[in-house]
Amino acid sequence: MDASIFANLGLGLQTAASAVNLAYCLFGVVMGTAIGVLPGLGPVATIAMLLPVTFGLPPVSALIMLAGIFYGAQYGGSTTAILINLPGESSSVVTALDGHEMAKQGRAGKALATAALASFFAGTVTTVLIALFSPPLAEIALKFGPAEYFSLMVLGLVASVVLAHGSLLHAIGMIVFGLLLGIVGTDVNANVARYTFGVPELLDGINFVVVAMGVFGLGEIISNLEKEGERSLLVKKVTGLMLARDELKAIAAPALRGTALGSILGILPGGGAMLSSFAAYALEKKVSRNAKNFGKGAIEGVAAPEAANNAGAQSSFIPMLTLGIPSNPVMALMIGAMIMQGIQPGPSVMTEQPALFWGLVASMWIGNLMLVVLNLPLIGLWVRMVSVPYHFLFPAIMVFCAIGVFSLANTTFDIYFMAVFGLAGYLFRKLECEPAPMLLGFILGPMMEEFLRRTLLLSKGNPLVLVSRPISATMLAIAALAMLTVLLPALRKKREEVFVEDD
Amino acid sequence: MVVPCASGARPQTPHVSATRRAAGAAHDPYRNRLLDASVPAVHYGTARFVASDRAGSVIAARLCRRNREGERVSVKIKSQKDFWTGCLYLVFGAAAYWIARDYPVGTASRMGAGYFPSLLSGLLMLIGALSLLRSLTRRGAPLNGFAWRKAGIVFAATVAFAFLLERAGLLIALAVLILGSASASAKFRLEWRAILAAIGLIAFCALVFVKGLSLPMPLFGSWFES
Amino acid sequence: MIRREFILAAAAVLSCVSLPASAQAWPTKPIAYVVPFTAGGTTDVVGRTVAQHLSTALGQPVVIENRPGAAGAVGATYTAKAKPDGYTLMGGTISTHAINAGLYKNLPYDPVKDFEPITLVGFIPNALYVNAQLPVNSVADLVALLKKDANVRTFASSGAGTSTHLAGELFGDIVGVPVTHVAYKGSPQAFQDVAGGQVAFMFDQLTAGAGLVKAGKLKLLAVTSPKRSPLAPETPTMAEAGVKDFEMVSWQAVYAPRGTPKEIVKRLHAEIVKGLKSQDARDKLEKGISMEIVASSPEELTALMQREIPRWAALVKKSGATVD
Repeated sequence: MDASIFANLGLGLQTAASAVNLAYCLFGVVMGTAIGVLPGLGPVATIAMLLPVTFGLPPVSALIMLAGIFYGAQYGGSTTAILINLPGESSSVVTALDGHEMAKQGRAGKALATAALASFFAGTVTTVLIALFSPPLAEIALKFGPAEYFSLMVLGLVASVVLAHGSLLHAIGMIVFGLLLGIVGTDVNANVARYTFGVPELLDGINFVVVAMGVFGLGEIISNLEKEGERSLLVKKVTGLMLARDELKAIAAPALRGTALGSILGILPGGGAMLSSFAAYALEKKVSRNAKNFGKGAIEGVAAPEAANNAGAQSSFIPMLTLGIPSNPVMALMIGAMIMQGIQPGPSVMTEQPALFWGLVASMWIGNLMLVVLNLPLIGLWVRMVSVPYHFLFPAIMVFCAIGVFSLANTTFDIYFMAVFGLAGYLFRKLECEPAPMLLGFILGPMMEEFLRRTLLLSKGNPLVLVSRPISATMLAIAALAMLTVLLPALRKKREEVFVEDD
Repeated sequence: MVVPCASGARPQTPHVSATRRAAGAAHDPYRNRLLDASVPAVHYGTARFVASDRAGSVIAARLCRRNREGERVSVKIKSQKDFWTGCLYLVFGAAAYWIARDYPVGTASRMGAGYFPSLLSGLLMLIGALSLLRSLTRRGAPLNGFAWRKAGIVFAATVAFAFLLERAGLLIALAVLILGSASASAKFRLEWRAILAAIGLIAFCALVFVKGLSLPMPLFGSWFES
Repeated sequence: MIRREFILAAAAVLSCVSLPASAQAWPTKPIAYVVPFTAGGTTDVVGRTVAQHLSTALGQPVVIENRPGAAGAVGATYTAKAKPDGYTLMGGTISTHAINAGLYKNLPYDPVKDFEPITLVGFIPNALYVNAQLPVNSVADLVALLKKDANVRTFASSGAGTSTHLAGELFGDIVGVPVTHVAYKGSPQAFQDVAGGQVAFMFDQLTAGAGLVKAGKLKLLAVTSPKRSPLAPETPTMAEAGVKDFEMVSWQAVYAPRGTPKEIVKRLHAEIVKGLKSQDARDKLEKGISMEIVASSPEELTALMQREIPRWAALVKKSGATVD
């Protein structure tokens, strides 16, 4: 295998670097960046719309283009998160925390450059990882049963407490609120419709994007309009687009840790990739020397989740390519595209169609290179876009949010719902309740319940499996440890506040 | 904010016990210290209004309780944000709990569909109660007035878009959304630049989303069909 | 520029209002093909194949609209309420047009009264998969193991009330062993846990598990169709493997809203059937999703539904999987 890997990669590069495939790769990443930048419109809807276009193409070109859209959208998604605090996907919720703070301080260019560079770094590393270790990595995915997933979710939940920078009580409150919101829909285990009020559109639950566009998009708009009179809302003076040497140094380690976390979590089909950026941010906030500034525009808080997010996106190809298991809706679409091309996804792709497999892998690195070359010069343009007067900008944001939300399931129902979440988001802002922990609770809630109940169903009601299985036990231990490190300082701080109050 | 209660309360009113009773945290020594610390800020019977907005003072007035001697004392809401957040959690938790009554709960080892919702809504109510408690003991920034009009316009414009999209079609729905929401801004004027921008945006959406990506949105909706 | 926009827009309005819809001229605008599930799934692949051939034949684009939700009920309700003018079609399945009628107590559409059947695209056999680590190589082995070992009496499904769930219940019922149902949100996760050894066996589409069988994580024991599948000729049918009266094939069909003009239905039927008989469609559907293409008449589809609806309602009732 070791010797043949170069031959394989050579074959892959040869395939991916053909003029036609380069063109499709470029088209894919440009398209992906564009839809990533437009709030609400995600890669799923776009790939579904473009699927008919791929029928006429050779399979390699089709997959290269679709893959390009997918990871291109990951790059573009962080742009809106940073510039207008509007995360279009779960992964960019965390990028918005510090990225948007940086933008408010006039460091939007640096935040965007950090995102692009960290993503490129992660993309490069993960491409190598896929090329070298796909089959053994896929084995990890199968080691994860319901107990392991549940423990992973618990760990994620603890991490979400770390996300908040305000009151601990409200952080937990918002998480629980999000968990409850996530329960809306049909209960997978018992097939009971919960909190659906007889509305068929709610039977599959509320889409994450609807909540994010409402709470972040509309909520932020209302709150900005309220402050309209006070002062200009965003970037006044943009200081430097490129990163200084010490800034590059500051993001190196976080990007590396983010890449490691992201590429491991991305392999897990049961929602692991979604956790990667959250986990990377939480980890960074714990280990960074600059931890104090997290939530206030720390550059590490942009680098780590962006690297994790891109690494996770790329490694989510592994179970699809090696086992035929799609780890997210985009991968399911890719499988559909392969079937339409007459290819059966699975381990045989690698042996029977080496040019396809290695061509796709090689194109990922080429695509990432294109993205970074494309995105760095674009930063100046994006930053200028934000200097458009806000009363011109926000109706456009609303338009893209509304159309994007419609495109999720082609129903206006979701737009009504987004409007409701917009009001809720404004209310949360007024009450200083942070929406980020709520969104993580919203994502984790249904999965946690599902995995816990499945664990207990399979263990015949014995909860000890959670600690008798080594991977699960390890994760629970880490979660307990993390919880302690969160709670102890909080309690200590409370004691200090008592004295502060004593005036 | 302090809201005085009319019936002449004496300055030596044992307010701690009253507050304690209202808050239900009698056996928490840690909290008692907190309450003691807040003594100087409370002036009963004096007409000291710090209230800045009416909604808050109404609620505060409602929290007046009679103490052991039957005299009315007031409970001070020190943090309006904590107070309202607590209310929000309580209301949502209670509603969620009430709806979840119908779902089979099961047991811890074999959970039913109602197990998690009941657990979570209970937890939310608990957090709500804690937040309410804290609003009485820990000072927070005041809650400024709500921008109801602007929030209402943004909400209405979005709902109007959803309503019009399939009936009037994308072009009209977009025009309503863009100009409607823009009117929430104090800086917005209906002048040629704004109209030009709106038309450009509508054309862009029609070309990209309907022609380019063929999203199933009609340019002209069912109202225009014979 | 602005003026031109307005003129164009005005012209578009006028043309919409003034043109009476005539059946002779049909189709004069793009046709929507509603897929009531997410993109990339089986119904989506079928829909896109049908749409591709239909649009070449009719000279108008046939656009796929994914309207997922509630086991297809959201998209089916949408289609049922759409204007019956020949510009809305739908990819119906065993879920939307048979099982849901027994599964949901308040189904917002009527699978029989609200639709105009066009054609039964084909049958898709399910297959019985077991974890590769289990010491079984045939259905008989599995039955023996289930009877002996209570720890392996679990099966996964792609969701409560789906054909994969009901197949498992029926199997347990026929072989006389109580089996525990473990529901998943879709096939991939179910496959993952059976391949990982968390759950013992499952029924799902023949091609969906092919990758895991090749990777040596799953064993394919039998197909649930009455005949062997050309994609797995060495795999026995359930009947051959000794399980009688076990026939579980899911199916895919095309519908229009009730009231669609007869000539249009006739034309649609003719063109879709012609497309399904093409080599390209066979490559995609037979090889890609192991479908046995039927391309039936509307009457045959109606007859199939009349058999299937009560049969599945009884199975749903037995499994206790109803939804309010």
